[in-house]
Amino acid sequence: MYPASPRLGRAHLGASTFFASAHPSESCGSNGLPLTPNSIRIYGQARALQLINHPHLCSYVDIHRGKHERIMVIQEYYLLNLRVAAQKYPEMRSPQGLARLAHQVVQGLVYLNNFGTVACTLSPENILIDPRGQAKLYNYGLYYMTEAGTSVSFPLGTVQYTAPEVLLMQAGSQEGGGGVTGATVTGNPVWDVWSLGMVLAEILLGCTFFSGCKDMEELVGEVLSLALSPNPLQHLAQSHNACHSLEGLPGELKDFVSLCLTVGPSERPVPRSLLSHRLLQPFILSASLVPVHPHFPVVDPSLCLIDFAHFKAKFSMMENSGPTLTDYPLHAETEASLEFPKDSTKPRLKRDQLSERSMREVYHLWQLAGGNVEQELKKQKLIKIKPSILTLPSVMVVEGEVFGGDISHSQQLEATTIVLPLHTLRSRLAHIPPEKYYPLITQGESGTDELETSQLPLVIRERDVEYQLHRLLSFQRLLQAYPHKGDSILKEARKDTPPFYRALVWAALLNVDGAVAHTYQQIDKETPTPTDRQIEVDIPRCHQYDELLSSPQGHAKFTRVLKAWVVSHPHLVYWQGLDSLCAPFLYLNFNNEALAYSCLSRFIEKYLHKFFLRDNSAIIQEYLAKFSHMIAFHDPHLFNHLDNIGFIPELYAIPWFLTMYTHVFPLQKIFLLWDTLLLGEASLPLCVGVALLRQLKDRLLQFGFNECILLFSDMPDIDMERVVRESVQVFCSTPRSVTFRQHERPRPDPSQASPAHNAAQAGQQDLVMDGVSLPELKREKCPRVCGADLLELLAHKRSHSGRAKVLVVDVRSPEEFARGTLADAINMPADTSLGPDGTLLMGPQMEVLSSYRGKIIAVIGSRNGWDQVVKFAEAILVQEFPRVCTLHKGVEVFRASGALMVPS
Amino acid sequence: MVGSTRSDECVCEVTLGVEPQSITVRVPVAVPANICPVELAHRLILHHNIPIYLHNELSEKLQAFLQNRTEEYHRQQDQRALQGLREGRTSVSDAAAAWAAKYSQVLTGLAILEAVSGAAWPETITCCCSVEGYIMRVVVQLGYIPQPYLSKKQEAEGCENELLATMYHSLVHSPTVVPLLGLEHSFASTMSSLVAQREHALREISERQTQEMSSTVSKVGVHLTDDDVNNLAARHLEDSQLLEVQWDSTISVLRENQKREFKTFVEESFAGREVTTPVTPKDFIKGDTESVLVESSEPSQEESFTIHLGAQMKQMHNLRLLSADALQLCKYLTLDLSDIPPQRIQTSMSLYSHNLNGLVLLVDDRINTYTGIKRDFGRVCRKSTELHFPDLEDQLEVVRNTVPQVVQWRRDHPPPQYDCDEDAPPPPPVPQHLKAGDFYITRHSNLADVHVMFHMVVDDTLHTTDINSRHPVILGLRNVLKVACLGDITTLTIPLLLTNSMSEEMTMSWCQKRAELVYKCIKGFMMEMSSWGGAEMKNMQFLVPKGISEELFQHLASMLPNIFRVSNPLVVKSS
Repeated sequence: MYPASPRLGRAHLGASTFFASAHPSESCGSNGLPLTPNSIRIYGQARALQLINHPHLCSYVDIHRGKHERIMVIQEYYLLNLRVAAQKYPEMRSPQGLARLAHQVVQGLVYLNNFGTVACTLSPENILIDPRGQAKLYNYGLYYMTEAGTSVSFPLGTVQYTAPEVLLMQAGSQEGGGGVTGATVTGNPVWDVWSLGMVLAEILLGCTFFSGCKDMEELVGEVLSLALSPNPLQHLAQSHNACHSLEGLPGELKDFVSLCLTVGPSERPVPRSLLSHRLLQPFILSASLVPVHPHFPVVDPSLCLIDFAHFKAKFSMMENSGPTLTDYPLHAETEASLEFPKDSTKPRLKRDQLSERSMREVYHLWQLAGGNVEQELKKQKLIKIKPSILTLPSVMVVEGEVFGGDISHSQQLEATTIVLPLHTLRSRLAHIPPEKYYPLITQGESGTDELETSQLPLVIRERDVEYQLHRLLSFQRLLQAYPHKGDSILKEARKDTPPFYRALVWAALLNVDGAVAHTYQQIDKETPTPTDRQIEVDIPRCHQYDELLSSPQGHAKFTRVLKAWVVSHPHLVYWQGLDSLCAPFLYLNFNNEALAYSCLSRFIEKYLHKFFLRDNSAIIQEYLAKFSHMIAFHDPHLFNHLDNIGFIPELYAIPWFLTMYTHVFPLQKIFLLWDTLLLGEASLPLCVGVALLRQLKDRLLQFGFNECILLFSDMPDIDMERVVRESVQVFCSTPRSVTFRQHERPRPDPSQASPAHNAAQAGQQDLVMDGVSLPELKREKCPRVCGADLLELLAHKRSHSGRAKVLVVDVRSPEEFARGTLADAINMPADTSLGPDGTLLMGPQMEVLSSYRGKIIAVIGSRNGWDQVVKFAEAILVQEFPRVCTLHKGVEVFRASGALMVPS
Repeated sequence: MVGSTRSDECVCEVTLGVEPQSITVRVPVAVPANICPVELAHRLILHHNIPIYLHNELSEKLQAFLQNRTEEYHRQQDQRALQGLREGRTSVSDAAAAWAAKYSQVLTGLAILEAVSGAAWPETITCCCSVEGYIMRVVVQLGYIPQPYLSKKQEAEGCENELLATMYHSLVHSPTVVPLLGLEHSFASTMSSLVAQREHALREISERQTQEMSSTVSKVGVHLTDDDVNNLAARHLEDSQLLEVQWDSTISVLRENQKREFKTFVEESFAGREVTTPVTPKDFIKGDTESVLVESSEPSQEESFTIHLGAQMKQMHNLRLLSADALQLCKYLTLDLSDIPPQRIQTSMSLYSHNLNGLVLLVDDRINTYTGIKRDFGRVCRKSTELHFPDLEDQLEVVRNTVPQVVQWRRDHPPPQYDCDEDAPPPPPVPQHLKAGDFYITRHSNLADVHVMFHMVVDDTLHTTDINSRHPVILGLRNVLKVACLGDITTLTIPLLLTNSMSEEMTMSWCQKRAELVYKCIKGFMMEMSSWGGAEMKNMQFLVPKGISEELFQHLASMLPNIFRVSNPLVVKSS
């Protein structure tokens, strides 16, 4: 499925670390902005490496950025590398074994070339051997993630195995600052072929090359002298006294190695053409050599052809992988004994279920179980931090130059990799029976129901290993069955969304479907458009605290997704704020622009319908008027205060709704908010707004106009979980017609919309809500409710014997009232119960009214006396009666339905 | 690597379909480039009216073309490099030297320490060897051999410091903290009382001498001549110098003893051996402990705020405005022998941590401890032995030795001249000393609340009213924040008015204007700081001189929330 991460199997999770080079102080880019730190460049660039999925390449699991430009990389790792393996296992040294090895390495290289990069770090240490004897390239992504080595200060690769032309070119090159954005990082694939030749030759000749060299200069000199000899292989053999071992070699192998060691880069074959060499003919490909792009939903018609080749290769090779190597080096840890029982003749009863999970999943769980790479690296002494007080400089001049001290951290590449211990995680999960790993989704089993954790708050659930494991297991299955299982995903997501699968769950909630990648490919994202300038200005200001979104890769992807949206929606335009709206989707789908684009389009369609029209004032005005009604409906106290000081939603709420809060909150809070927002209807954002205001109520009530403006210009810290909870409450206690908007996207199927609408027969058109003109909307302070909703509320009262949810106040004259009104309505004629200045006078019915404080109070009147209705509603609003609403289109709407009766 | 960032333009020409309905597509592409051929094909089809069924063919052909051209491009480049070698344009030794230089550059940072656990002091030398061994190991792994870079002595010293640091840091976070700090504290008391005695003795002698002198002078012409006065003056000078030297040597003996004992104590207790707290040399102390001055270090007025900075992602900072003498923060409240002051525990525990305290002191461009606030600071430092770092004088000596380097750097890097203003005066000559906005840093373990002292060089322009955000001292403050960020200094105190004391011309409006400038600049720098990738500034303290009026203080305090937007006071709800 989509996050293409192979299962853990017998791999370890290895962590290594290095420093990105620091920019010279006070340097600026061509645009005058400070340069992006190199660690951020690397971080953004390295993301794409997670897409690599090939049996002969170690997967990149994750990458972290530490303080002071530190980069930490987590990769698939094995304890055996080629140098050790060749010494230990004779079958590795045999011509047959070497040919197999060469074939596997070349496959890895071809895959890398197709991915668009080269390894440039090939050496016996970077070819790992897994327990089945398969070769796996390690650390091959350095060249790619450091943009050809420009963002680190150390040279890449090991000198002995580096091709002479690389040595020559690097010697002449200057330290690059990496200023160019989107620079290509292709290298010449034949560099790796030379390295492979050197690695093979070393094993064949059975010696370590250039071990006699005393220093760097001599070593480089030796390698370069190879470039001047006509036959480097012969030259190597002679200089290392190994001519005899060269003699006895099979011709094919010798030919292959010499071919790899061709001096001229133009004559040396690329890995692709090496595959057809005679030596490699007997072997079958292990897997498809073409990288498969991430896809979701799983069934993507455009991918069928590629996958076919993939599956063919898979069936032929992967299943019959050879027997395990004996005496494979083990990590000194309990997990080793778990994997390899001493008595291996007996069938293993307990299979390690964790190794069946994907590496990224295991790593995620490991982190939840308290794992922290930086701590681990410190513990295993790979990070040694000098106390900072000992590194301070002695003088710093005003120009920014530093003298003395070694505050710039050591810049070497630490070649060691440590293994992340998984035993804590294993023991945490040990008690989970194997069958739990395979939940049956068709029977609605979710695995978490019986867990105590499922009752605890979300923060705890999100950090609980066991709970998350169950969530991952069931969501993985459900997502694989999307779109078929779309409903179950919705049902499960109501409980919570596991952060690990958030990107896909959101896509499922937004009903993303079809040939997503294909559609995206067809959009022209290159041709300049008039909005480019604005996009270019906005992106460097959008959620830049996040390292992913502030990286050059992030900016490039931002531009592409935004341009794609603008181009593919010709009737809509780019409004500032679209960038913020795009941010969460891009962050989650960083490696899958197409999905980010699809989600964005779907989201806008559903929640921000027509918001991005060139003239969107009518839509926004309507939205804000509705928001104002919502405040009045749910919190009259606050409404009256804000109304008095003239602090209207226009002044603060436009960015809230136009960006669905993405402009005002950091990403982590948006995730929390949107997890719920996406479950609900297009009106839920209004409820969120009310919940937000309520949380700030205490402050707002004390503040005058200026302080309120200040408060919202810099949004204070908000308890998002509470907002989410309360907005759902607000949503549930609001009749649907209150949030009705004329410009909302028409509901797909009215018959499903609500039971009230089911009743809406042709003759009862009046009972449903319809558009109200904007001036009217803005004039009224209380929302309108439609007849159908009112009837439903009344019916609710009748069916349950308890207290009524609604009080109907009829403000017509007593005569009209007597002629027919709704059941249980009270009559408070506007003429007599309102004073000349519009205040509420004490009357006989006041007591009834007061006893209904907190319930919905529906003010009804005749269509002709509409002003009275509004006036009355506002009068009780001033009295801080919550949930006051007026009946849309007056009592007359009930005539046809027969709901009117003569009051007793 | 070279060449990969440059690219060549070339024209791609592909023919699609079969005769007679073939189409030729000609499109310029840059090689190497990361164009997706599939998208390019879609674009061509969209804009050039090519039938959609040709898409697959077009994208395949484009892909093949791009691949060939990219490989061709690299081939040519590599070939050129190799050709150079063959034809002798580049020599093997040149290239080798360039590589070696590149690696050695990298290795300068290679100061790797073996795990120090269990290593005791006498093993320093072996430890150094093992450090070298480690470098060798790393180097062997990487496949190259290092150039000796650090001199043996430097290396040994750095190693020693770090060892002591590691041991001390682990001790101070263990139960040994009590005897350890007790030791430090008793050392400090001893030293300060000795210093006080010295002052006392010197004061006494000078008083006596003045008396003697005045009585002698009054008798001149009666029984005595001018010569007698001269002789007396000479004798007085001799006496006082002798006394001073005596005291100084006593003090330095004590200091050396304390340093040695401290080291031994740390090593021994780190090795797990029980150490009897060494006997403090009481012989030096002759009663008179009353002269140990206990000064009130409570700032007279202070106010704290909590702010959140940042557009979406909020970062919390504490701000504090306090009115106190800068050096008050350095002095311990009490030197009572019986109990260890809490600040000492706090300061010692964080000494080698990643939460350091810094203080900005405004000084002139002469690096010494002879006058003004520098002298006072020197006195505070001398009150107790600096057990971890070189003495203040030695640290200043290092700074003085760095100054020629700075001057040289300034000569090599003149400020950029812009062509547009031809008439601009020639740049002023490079001064031979530090100039305003530069600062030097000293490290301390014996001050109350400060680990790192930033000595910011200032000049008289600070007294004027019209300084702006481009003033060198303001830029210097930004650099201080930068060092703080890189050096894990998370509490920083800066003088808000950029002055050590109040004077006549500092009127209310002057102070207001200055405070506004500094507040705003610091706010900007703090927001900038979050992108520097270092430590967060947790506590920012603004210091105003002690003698400030309450009214002015209140005024400055009220400016702070406005500028830093403390618009969200904490509201405590009763429910």
